[in-house]
Amino acid sequence: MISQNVEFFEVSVDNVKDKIKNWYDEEKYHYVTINAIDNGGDVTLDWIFFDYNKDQWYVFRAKNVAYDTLIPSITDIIPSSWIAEWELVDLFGLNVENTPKGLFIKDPNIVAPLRKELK
Amino acid sequence: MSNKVVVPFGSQHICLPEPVSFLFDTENEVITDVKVDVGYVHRGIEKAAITKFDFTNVSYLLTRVCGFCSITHASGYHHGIEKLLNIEVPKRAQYLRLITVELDRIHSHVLANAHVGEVVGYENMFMQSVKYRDDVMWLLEAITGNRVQYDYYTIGGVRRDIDNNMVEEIKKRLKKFKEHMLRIKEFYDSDYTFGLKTKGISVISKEMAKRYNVVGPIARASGLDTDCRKEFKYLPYDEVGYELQLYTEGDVWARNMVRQDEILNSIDMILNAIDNLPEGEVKVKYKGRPKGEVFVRVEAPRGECFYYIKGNGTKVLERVRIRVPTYSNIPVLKELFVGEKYSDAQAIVLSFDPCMSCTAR
Repeated sequence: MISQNVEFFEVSVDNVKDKIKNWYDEEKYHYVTINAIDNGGDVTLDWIFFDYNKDQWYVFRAKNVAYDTLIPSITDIIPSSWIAEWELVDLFGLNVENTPKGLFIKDPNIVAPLRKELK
Repeated sequence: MSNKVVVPFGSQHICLPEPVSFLFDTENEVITDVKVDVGYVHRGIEKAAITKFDFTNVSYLLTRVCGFCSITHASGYHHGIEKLLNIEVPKRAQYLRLITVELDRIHSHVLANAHVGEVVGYENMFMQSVKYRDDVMWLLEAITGNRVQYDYYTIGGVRRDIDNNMVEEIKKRLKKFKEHMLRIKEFYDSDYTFGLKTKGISVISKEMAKRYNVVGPIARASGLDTDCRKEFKYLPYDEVGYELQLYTEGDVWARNMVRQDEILNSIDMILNAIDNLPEGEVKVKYKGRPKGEVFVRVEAPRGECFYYIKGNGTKVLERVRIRVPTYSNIPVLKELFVGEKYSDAQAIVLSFDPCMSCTAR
């Protein structure tokens, strides 16, 4: 059975960027992705990392983030994060700093398909 | 006088196995900027996984994320669900899973390398490779029942066992296949023209690979020693002779060489697994419904495949998140084009072995 060593860091959208900036070391940590979980009314956001040298996850978690909150972009810290940020906009209808809509979903009639309100 | 031309590349292009679009700004045939569009095949799979299926059937959906690495998706999902349900999978099933996952890696790598060979001018090489690859496809069909999109994993083990005849067939075919792969490796390694068209092209340094969080054979071709098979224990790789394949050149050639060496290592691992196949059951019964959350990494042919699964104790899951390797490698690919010649664009794209049906899901 797989192991599950996860260290969570509780953050808010206001401080997540600073916390990641102060913690992240590209020599040691592998950025995996950004994940959103819809709670029905708001979302939980995870910025997920893995250790290059040991079996260890690190998750920066912001709970109860309102749909219309401006979420900071971390592309100046981790340049490859733009694709995951774009996905948050397309699939959850979130508002991410400097991030447009339309990478994964072109149809303007489909809005935030991964929210629970869309059955 | 400079000659500025905007060149569309895809979404349908003779060299592309799947739809992705690049819009190249070029000046005197050198790429100066690129816009990328990956969103042609979004199928709403993550949505369907949490609305249309109960957790026992989600696997049928996820194995259809991709035709090549379907068993990787089954792997990511099942290792996560089994953790949530606290299921210990029998050792024989773990070995059978490893054998099929590595066979899948082999046929994916053979085709990826053959595509690179084809676009740099070796069409016959492509045809030869595909001919050899069919032996692996035959084995996968014989073991799993399907030629592609294998529903071989099941919660608690695998669906079918193999008998002694199949063990002998796997050994016979793989030993012959290995001879072909060694010959192809010799070609990639020593052919002058192949080297001219692939060495020093679109180099990713180790620093750049880390900065852009590159994964899989692309990262290993740049000297970044990352591989979920060694970092995240999900199958018994340490018992069958897994070896990390590393190159430092970081170019198109090195990406082919990493994949070719991984093919050879996968063959050896399968033969070791077959020789030491444990006795016993191939699946166990289980009770309960998944509750809680789990983070999973498995090594797809193209690199790290991430799964996040959250269950709430009901039959339908709360969240299934898939982050595939091509998704992770697109950002560096976009950066890499700038400064390269447009004539090398095909080889650069195919050296990444992109999978857009995985990326868009």
